[in-house]
Parts: sequence; C-alpha cells; structure tokens
Amino acid sequence: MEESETIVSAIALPALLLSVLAAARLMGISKRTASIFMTLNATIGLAIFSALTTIPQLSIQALNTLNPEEVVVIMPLIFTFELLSGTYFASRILELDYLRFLKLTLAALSLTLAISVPLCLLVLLFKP
Amino acid sequence: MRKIGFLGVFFFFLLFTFPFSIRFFWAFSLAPVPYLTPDEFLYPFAGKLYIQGLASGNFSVFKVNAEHPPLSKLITALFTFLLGPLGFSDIGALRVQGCFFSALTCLLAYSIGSRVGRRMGMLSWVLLSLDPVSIRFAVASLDVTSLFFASLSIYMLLRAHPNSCRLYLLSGLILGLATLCKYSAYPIVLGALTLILLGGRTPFRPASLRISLVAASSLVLLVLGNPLFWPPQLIGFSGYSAFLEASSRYTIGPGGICLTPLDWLEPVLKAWNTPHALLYLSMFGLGSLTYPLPIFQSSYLPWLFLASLLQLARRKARLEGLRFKSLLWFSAGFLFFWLLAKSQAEPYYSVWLQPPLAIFSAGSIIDAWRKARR
Repeated sequence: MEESETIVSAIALPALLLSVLAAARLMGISKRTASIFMTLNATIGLAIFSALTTIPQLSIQALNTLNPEEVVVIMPLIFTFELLSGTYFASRILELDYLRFLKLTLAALSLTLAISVPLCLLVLLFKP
Repeated sequence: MRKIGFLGVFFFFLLFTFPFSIRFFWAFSLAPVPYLTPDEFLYPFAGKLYIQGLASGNFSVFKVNAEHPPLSKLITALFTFLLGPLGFSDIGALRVQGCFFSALTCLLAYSIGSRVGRRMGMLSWVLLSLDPVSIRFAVASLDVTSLFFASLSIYMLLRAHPNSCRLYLLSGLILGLATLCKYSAYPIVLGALTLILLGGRTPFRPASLRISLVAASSLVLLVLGNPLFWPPQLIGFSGYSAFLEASSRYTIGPGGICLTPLDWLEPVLKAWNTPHALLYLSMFGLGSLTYPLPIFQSSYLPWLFLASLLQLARRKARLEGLRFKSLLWFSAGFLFFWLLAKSQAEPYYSVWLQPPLAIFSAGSIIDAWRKARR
C-alpha cells in the first residue's frame, strides 16, 4: 500500500467516525442510534444503487466508460440518490424522524470533509 | 443440554445432505476444472507442504502463500489424504471440502433461524441451500471454510447469555478458527458483534468487555495457530516479515485503484492544479458510490432483501430480534467489503453476505405471510 494512500485512509475514516459522533452530540441524538443509523444508511443506500446497476444503462461497465466530465455530473446525482434512499429506509426501519436524520447525515459528511481535506493537504504538503 | 434422538440426527443428516448434493453436483458435473485459478492448484499444494513442514520441523514452508492463514489449507491437505485413495484428485478433494463446509453453513442457517421458530429455520435453510452464489462458489475453499466458522461464532454469540462469559469465550475461539482460515472473518464478526451490542442497547462496560473477550480469545488462537506469528527464535526466520512481504501484493497499483472509498481524495489533492484533477475527481464516483461485488446479478437473496426493505418501509414497522441482528450482520460484511476489499474484490467474496441475507429474507417472508393471513 502506498504511504500517502494509507495516510488518507488513516485520516478520513476516523474523521468520518468522529464526525458522526460529534454531529450526533450536537443534535442531541444518542451515539448508539447515530452509529446504527449511519451503518444502515450506508448499507441500504449502496445496496439500492447496486440493484440499479443491473439496468444496462446504469451498469458499472457503462459508468466506467463515461468520460470524466460526464462522471463529475452524474456521480453527485448517484451520491444524492444513495444518501436520500439510505436515509429514508434506515429512518423508517429504526422509526426515526427522516428529516432530522437527513440533517445528521449531511452534517457528518460535511464535517468529515472539513476535517480531512485540510489535514490531508497538510500531510501531503509536508510529505517528502 | 437437550438430547437429540435418532430422528433428530436423521433430520440434521438430511439438512446436510441436500445442500451438499447440490454443491457436489455443481462442483463435479458442471464446474470447469479448474474454476478458480490459481487457488485450486495452490491450496492443496500449500496444504501438503505445510503438513510435511510441520512433520519435519521446517517452518519455512509457511512462507508459501503466506498472505493467507494456514488452517483451511491444512484441512484441504487432510481431505486430499483421505480422499486421494478413493480416486479424488487434489482439486477434487478441495472441492469436496468446499461443498462440505458450505453444506454445514446451510445447517447453521437453519439452527440460527430456528431460534425464532422452526418455520423460519427451514426457510433460511432452503433459501441458502438453493442460493446460486453459495452453490457456485462452494469451491472457494478458504472463504467457505472460514464462513462456516464465522457463522458458528455468530451463532454462539446469539445464544450467549448476557451474564455468562463462557459462550463469548467459545465464540472468540471459533472466530480464531475462522480467522485462521481467512483474515476477513475477524473484522466481519467483530463488526457484527459490535453492531448487535449497539443495536441491543447493551451498556458500554459489559458491551466492551464482551467485545474484548471475543477479540482477545480469537487473537490468542490466531497467534498460536499461525506459525508466521511465532517468535523468530522458534521458527528460524521472521514470519511476520514474510507475512507482510506476501501481503504487499495486495496494494494499490499505479493504475489508481482506490483502496477505500475515501482514497479518491489523495490524487485529487495532489493534482489540484493540473488537467488531471478532473480525471482524479471522477474517481470519487468510481471509488465511493458503487459496490465492488455484483451481488444483484448472481443471486435472488439481495432482491428478497430489497423487497423486505420496501415492505418494512411501507408498513413503517420497527425491525427487532433476529431479523434486526441478521441485518446488522449483513451490514458488517457488506461495509467491510465496500471499505477495505474494494481493490481486490473477487466475485466469490459474495458468499460472505449470503447467510445473513437468507435469515433476514426468511424472517421477512414469514412476517409477510403472517400479515397476509390475518
């Protein structure tokens, strides 16, 4: 494994975990509920999109053949779809307030980027 | 302990024989030889070499295929020695091993499902026995053998009384056996246990004690059972270095495959002022938004899972009990392969997701059937 990539993983994954816990605390949601919710959210969102990739136009092969400009447009749409569907199903299953937990997801993801991007930049800047 | 009579033994024998026969038929009549290369050549060879090395005290043989732990390969060697005189080739013996443990996993799915009711146990068993992924990849000996022990470990965890440490310790030791077959078992089972304890609202202290007990006992068995982790003074070389060197094959190449869904960040930041930035940015999509295993293309279980989710969401019913635990077990495996195995995801890794999917789907079907009858 390349050292720089290990560094990114080492920063971004704990940053995501800490962001979920911090956002949950700020919103008055218990850490357990937030952890279980985020786990199910990611699983269900990904699983639903994975099911959609059985449609030929949305298959992984088709997505891989898109040019970078198209990918940059399409991927945020897919990401939003995964986020919304994952949040919807996870909140229904756990009997939680959909909008409140959508806010939690968005806050946790924003916080992850806010923490990890500057840290990664710093590390990569000073890395020989 | 409850006694099992003759009929009970016969019943369990049937539960084993049916999935074993299907897998055996696929492995010996339909599957090309070899089917999974180089694994089917490598593991029987490595297993025999390990046995010879252990017999002669030459531990350097464990440097062969050191990236994978030795137990499943030793079991393959055992099957080779037992079945060789009956006319089975090395690949044949490895396939019998895979069919055997895959059929035992079906039996475990029955036992886990039966904790709710016999009907749920039977349906879990039927769904897993007939699952195309589990049948097709029963020949993936390392994964299938490890999955059996991992499922047994989860079964013990589900049976464990909150105040008793014995079953947690036993579950940890069985997890050690699973990890000695394939390292993936360790994070998946521990992840599942953590999620189940979190979901069950177990207080922090007892929960962390149970997780530590399972983690520690399995680690002890892993270290004792894998000569590569023994002190260099004992085996004559640094086994850990050999393990690291062998594992370094599983790296990120210059092609830019992401290791984790968040690794798209690094090339983007490195190339932010070059024309390549856009290309690297596109890796965000490839790296983080698609699942590495085509689970929906090759099995009906993920579709049943999806249908169950839709049904749950429509009814807004709270998920509890074994169905909830099996969903968390599935999540642990699913996210592990998404997060960490992305760069090296082989299609046969899907077998890890099938037992919890079968149990979850069986619960959902029975639930829907009950609701429809009312």
